Amino acid sequence: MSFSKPWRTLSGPDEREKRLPVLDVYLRTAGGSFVREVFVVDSGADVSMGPRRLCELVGLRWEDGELIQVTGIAQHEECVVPATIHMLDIYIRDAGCQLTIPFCFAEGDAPLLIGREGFFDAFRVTFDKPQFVTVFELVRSVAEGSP
Amino acid sequence: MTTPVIRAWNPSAREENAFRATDASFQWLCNLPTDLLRQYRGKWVAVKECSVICAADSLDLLLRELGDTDLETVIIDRIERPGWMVYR
Repeated sequence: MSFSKPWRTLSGPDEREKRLPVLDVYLRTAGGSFVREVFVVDSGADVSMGPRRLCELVGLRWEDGELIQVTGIAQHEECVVPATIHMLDIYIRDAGCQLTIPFCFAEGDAPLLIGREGFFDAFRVTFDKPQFVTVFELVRSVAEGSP
Repeated sequence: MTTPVIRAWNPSAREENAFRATDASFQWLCNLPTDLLRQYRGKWVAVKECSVICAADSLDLLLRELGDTDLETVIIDRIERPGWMVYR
């Protein structure tokens, strides 16, 4: 099972157009309904990420997760952000599946990122920059649940 | 490596109709014209029927402004500021 997604347009340096790989992901809110959010597909991120407020939105208690310090390539102390990791159900409509993946809810204005852990184990992700498209191939059968 | 737990997901007919109603907005969002990218850079936005109905500096503020809006009818997005993006 595979599907593709075109990259989105954003403003790059000097207001020039740039493209970014994205995926629309559905999350089930605490109220039981779904919300569709646009995530950047980031193969450089260890784990998927979103802001702390998202944690409440999906009905999780931020404090109940595993507390970590998020650091980036700079490794500077001022760049360290507290975060907690939870197992989160995400819903991929194009694949008709629900994945449970580790997800990092960070303080501050964290971006919405799909990182490698969990998601890239379930999908083979091919970035086709010349065509500005991402191909997602489900590498495990939905019926299997887990291998 | 995280062994993924994968389950089939079969939305109800009502949910599927609601999702389909936001498909055009998703396409529109992926190809936002430059003037709107400029207007909403750095903002969290809620999009409905191919227009931005709400914008805020954080997801928290956006959800507050959305109030009782049915979240199934909107798409939530964060529009990056112009420039090279390196998450850190």
